[in-house]
Amino acid sequence: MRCFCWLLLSLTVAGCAPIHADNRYGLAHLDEYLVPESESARWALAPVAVPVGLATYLVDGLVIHPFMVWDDAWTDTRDLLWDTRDDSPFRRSVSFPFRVVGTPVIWVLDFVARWLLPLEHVPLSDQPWDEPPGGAE
Amino acid sequence: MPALRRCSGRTLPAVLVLLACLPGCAWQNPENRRLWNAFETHWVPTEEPAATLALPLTLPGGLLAILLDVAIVHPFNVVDDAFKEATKDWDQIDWEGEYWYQSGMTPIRCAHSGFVFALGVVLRVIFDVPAFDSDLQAVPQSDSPESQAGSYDEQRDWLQGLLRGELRRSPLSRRSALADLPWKGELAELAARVLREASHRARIAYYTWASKARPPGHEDPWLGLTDSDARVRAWMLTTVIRQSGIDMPAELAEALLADPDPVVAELAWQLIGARR
Repeated sequence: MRCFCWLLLSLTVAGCAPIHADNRYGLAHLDEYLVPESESARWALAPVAVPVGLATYLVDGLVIHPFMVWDDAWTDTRDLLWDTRDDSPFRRSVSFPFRVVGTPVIWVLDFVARWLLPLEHVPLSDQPWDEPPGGAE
Repeated sequence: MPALRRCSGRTLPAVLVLLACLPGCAWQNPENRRLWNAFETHWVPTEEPAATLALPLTLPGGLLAILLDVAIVHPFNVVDDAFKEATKDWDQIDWEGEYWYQSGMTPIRCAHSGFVFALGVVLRVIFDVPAFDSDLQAVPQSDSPESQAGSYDEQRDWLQGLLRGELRRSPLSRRSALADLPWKGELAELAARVLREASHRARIAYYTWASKARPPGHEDPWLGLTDSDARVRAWMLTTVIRQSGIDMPAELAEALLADPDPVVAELAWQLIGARR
């Protein structure tokens, strides 16, 4: 019973993210390199494939996917709170404390949403290390 | 324990009555009361005094038929529909391309389908849910050959209907849907025949559709305003102006203001001339 509860909790936390093909990491590798060609082989492998597939799904959802989306969450946070290109120096100064306080809140909410829901990744060209906060000079 | 026994003694009949009343919605549909229908058709006398005399037998028999319908026949009848609905996505699994993902999802899918099945049975027992038809549930792809063929046939039937004087709404009202059709040959020929031979009402139906769908060859939204029949011009003047505004070509506006039919000319003056 306890094992079942842990599995249910894990599945809930792993959420729907791996439904999106881009959010399957281990499963994508398995599906690319280890699919038996004949149908009979696929049936024969089913007793292994079901637990392994489920375990990989959980690893994808619980371990790899959150690691892969933390920077997307930061990009979203930066775009929302720290993109001050159109603001005057006065506005930037006044809003600075609010942006500091809001940053962890927005980041956590965005991170959880990106972890649990099948959202698309931020394109590599938009990643924070390509452009300094406040926009490219 | 005695308290529990007393409580269950009171609540059990209430629960039974509730269970018997719940499928009331499903009972509204005669198809969901097969046993009752059969009993009423074959066993209940229709003529007096036989109907009254038979009441001591038909009344309990009818109640038994209701109970059996509610408890056994109807639930069994809806099980296959609920099953089809719960497993409708199982045929579309890509076992070759996503073998490991789909294998891993199998336990989750089983749990999900089991839940949907149980919920489907309960809802179908209580409410009058239409029979599940997997063919109807499938969303046709707009670019699939089957849906194209269906749309082509529907559009051809519509045009042929207009030629016969049957006024129906076109099955295709969107330009994107029309873009998938090969608007040549038979369809274009039929459209031309509608404008040449069909009644003025059929032409109005075609012009109204064409002003939105803009089929090849009839892209001009003002097409109906040049029709030979004054009734068509008058009607199209009011509808097209309402849809597209008065931004029509100046030559066409002048022609309508000088229309030989006084009604059309007056309408044109009211709708176009007064605002110019």
